[in-house]
Amino acid sequence: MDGVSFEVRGGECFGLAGESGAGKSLTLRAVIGLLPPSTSLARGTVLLRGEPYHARSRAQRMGMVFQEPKTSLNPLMRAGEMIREGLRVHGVRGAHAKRSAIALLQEVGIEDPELRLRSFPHQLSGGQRQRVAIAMALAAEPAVLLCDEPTTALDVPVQERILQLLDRLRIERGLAIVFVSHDLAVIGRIAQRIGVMYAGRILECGPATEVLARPCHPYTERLLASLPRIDAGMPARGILGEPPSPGRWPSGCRFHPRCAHAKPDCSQAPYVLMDCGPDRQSACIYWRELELTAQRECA
Amino acid sequence: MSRFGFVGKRLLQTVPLLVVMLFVVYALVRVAPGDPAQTLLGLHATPARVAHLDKELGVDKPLLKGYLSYAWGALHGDLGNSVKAQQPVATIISNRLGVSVWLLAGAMLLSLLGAIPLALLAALRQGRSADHGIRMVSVLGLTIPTFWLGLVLVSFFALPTGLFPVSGFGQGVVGHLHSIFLPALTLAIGIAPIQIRALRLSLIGVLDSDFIATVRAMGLRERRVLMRHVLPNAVSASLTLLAAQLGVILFGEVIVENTFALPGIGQAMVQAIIQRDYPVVQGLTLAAALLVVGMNLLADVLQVALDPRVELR
Amino acid sequence: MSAQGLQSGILGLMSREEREQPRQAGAGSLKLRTGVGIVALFALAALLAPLLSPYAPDSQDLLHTLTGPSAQHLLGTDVVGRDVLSRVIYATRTDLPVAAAAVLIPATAGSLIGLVAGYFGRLTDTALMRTADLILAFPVYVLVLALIAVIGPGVGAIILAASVVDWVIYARLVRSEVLRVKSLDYITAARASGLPHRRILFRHVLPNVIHQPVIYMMSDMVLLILALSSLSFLGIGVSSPTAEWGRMIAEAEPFLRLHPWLILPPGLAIVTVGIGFALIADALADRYRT
Repeated sequence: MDGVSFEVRGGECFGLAGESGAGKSLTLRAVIGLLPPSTSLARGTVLLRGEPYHARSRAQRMGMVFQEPKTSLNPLMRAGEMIREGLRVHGVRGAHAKRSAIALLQEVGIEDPELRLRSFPHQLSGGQRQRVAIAMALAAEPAVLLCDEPTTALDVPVQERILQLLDRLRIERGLAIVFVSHDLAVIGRIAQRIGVMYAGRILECGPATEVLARPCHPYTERLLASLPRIDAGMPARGILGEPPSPGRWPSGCRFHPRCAHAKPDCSQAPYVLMDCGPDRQSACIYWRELELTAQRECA
Repeated sequence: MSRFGFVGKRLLQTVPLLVVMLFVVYALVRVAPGDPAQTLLGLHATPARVAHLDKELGVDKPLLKGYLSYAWGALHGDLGNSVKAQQPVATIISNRLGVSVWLLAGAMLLSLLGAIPLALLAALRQGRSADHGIRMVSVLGLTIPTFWLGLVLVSFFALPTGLFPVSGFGQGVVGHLHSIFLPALTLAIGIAPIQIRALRLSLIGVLDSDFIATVRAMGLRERRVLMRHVLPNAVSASLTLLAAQLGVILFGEVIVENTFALPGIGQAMVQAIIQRDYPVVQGLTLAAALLVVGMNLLADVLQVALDPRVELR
Repeated sequence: MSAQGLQSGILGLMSREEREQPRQAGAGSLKLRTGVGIVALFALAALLAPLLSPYAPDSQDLLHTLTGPSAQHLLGTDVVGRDVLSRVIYATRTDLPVAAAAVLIPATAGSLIGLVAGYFGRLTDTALMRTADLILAFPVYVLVLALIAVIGPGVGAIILAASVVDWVIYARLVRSEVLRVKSLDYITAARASGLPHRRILFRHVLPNVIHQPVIYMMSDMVLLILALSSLSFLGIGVSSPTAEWGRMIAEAEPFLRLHPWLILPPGLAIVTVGIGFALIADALADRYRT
């Protein structure tokens, strides 16, 4: 992973898309300062409201919601205790903490919050767990909420409701959200701006509607084409080949071995994000020449 | 199912096990080569005495009948009489049990006190030199013979410094603690390596998990993350392991009691083996087996109490 | 239950996959080479004991007792003036073969039983598993002690008692491996082609499961050398004039106060050979970890 850089504004949701192994989750963990010990040397800066952010900083915080709600809650703690752990961070304790916890559970749409305070994670459904996880993250009053595929492990209807919840929190709390998913459709639903990651790099970014309607990078095009579509009645088309594994990145544009439009000098192309429209960038040196469509090619 | 119901059911499940255990213990005397009474009394014993002892040992009866009367006695606390000490086996056990329990509890406590911080350190420094060092020391701990370690501690630490008694059980609680410390430490060093290994693995698993990332992301202090979230999730496994280790720990007790001349059950066991005092061997074997079954039961119950996830089946 | 958990604990110690970074290349083979080197050294000492020992192991010299290390006696002499170095060397002829026998017998028997039970399944299998559960429900070493009491102290009793208990571990180990291998395609193919069971078992199944008991045998050697020396120390194992490490330590015990160095050579011998076997077990487990 290198040269990953993006910006989220308050009250905005930034979607980070890409195949598994592209480095999306790693990016999030790097942002919050939780890289696994085996990761070699990570450098970079995270600015929160213009100031450098440290994972342990007490004044400004980020919250994180994970993919698998089964594992993201302490199995030995009741929901209420977990939320209170977050409240402790800024000194809310005692009876006040209990009221706050109930309010938080209400805010994330848990029914019967007083009862649920006393539930252990294994007594909650997947959707409920994810809501509790969100409530926990909110308890620490973060400015930014990092979501690592928070809907992937859920059933579709539950997925939809969690997305609505996140959207509401973004508007009501002015929360900045970074939303990681491999699913462009989900990202399109929730994000205002999108970054498309591949092999540890952001290949394209820009406003969600723009990127999805008129991709400026062949990879985004292929990703869009691989989405299943009900109306077209055609099987979704995957991308040829496997994504490269970390440490064995191809030279030049890392997507060129799998790119349908690849030209000889793609293997020497430097990695630069070029402006390709208002508030939009692409890393493809041929973005101007290529006629990319958001549609699947008509057969 | 209620928690009481669960405990009751686990108790019931051990009944067939106890029946078979009793049988194995009883059968020990029956598989002994030759006539056990003759072996015990020597070649010059009168036939009358041999017959009397045969009766005492219960080997004059058919197998099943002998077993039933042994089991019946055992259920009533009658484990027969020591052939050499002219004392009921039950008395020997109850006189010596205290020492052994002190030693056992002390060793378990010391081993956990050592293993938990070391495992935590190894897990937090995973793959680095502290981790490798701790793992190497724990392999070393497993290859060191307990009795030798005890003697090394005695001759190179206790004797030169005079800080600790090297034998006996001392008087009063302070005396007990004082005299139990070195033996318990010796035993603990034998127990701890496996604890460290297992605990380290489970700590690494917990440290890796999403919910630890969640609480860290919330900005909790590292100390609180470790004490409140990491340890409770990893430690319950080591209680279960401790119960599982009990068989080996008991062998360690036998060795340590003999090394430090502690008048516990282990010392009685070795004496009984050397003197071929079958009723005592049987009684002590049974006591050890009961202890192991009981500890495993206790570990299960604790597990249920500590971990809300455990299903009550 | 108890002992089974314990054994898997010990197994885990030696073999369970431990999530860690990729080892440095060669670290595994260095471990293996060191382990094999240590064990080979001890085996050689056992074979060449008469050549290597400066004195006969039981020749007494009552004029030079408890001398401490000197040019004549590199590791000093014991209470009846026997050369400690020679006795430590000769003890390899007791400790290693006895431990090896107490490992090999249950390993062979247990592996065969596990092989048959796992392969044929059904009644054999059920009978095996019940017996195993029962034996493992006992505190294993206490059972060994009780068996020694019944048979009468001595080397034979130790080997026999260890075998009665220990085969279970191997049987379970091999059985679970066989169950895994049995479902693989090539075994199914071999069965379908009508090869006789015996040939399938020994030509196709056994080679694919044998690494498990072999790895465990190495850890088991550590345990049995410890058990043998401990029992001898307690006076219910190898009996006196024979040179044996645990026995030597017991004989040195009364002189702890004035001659503490006497317990060092035999103890260090036990630790060293134990580390050798532990290293082999660890390296082999690394190699077969998939």
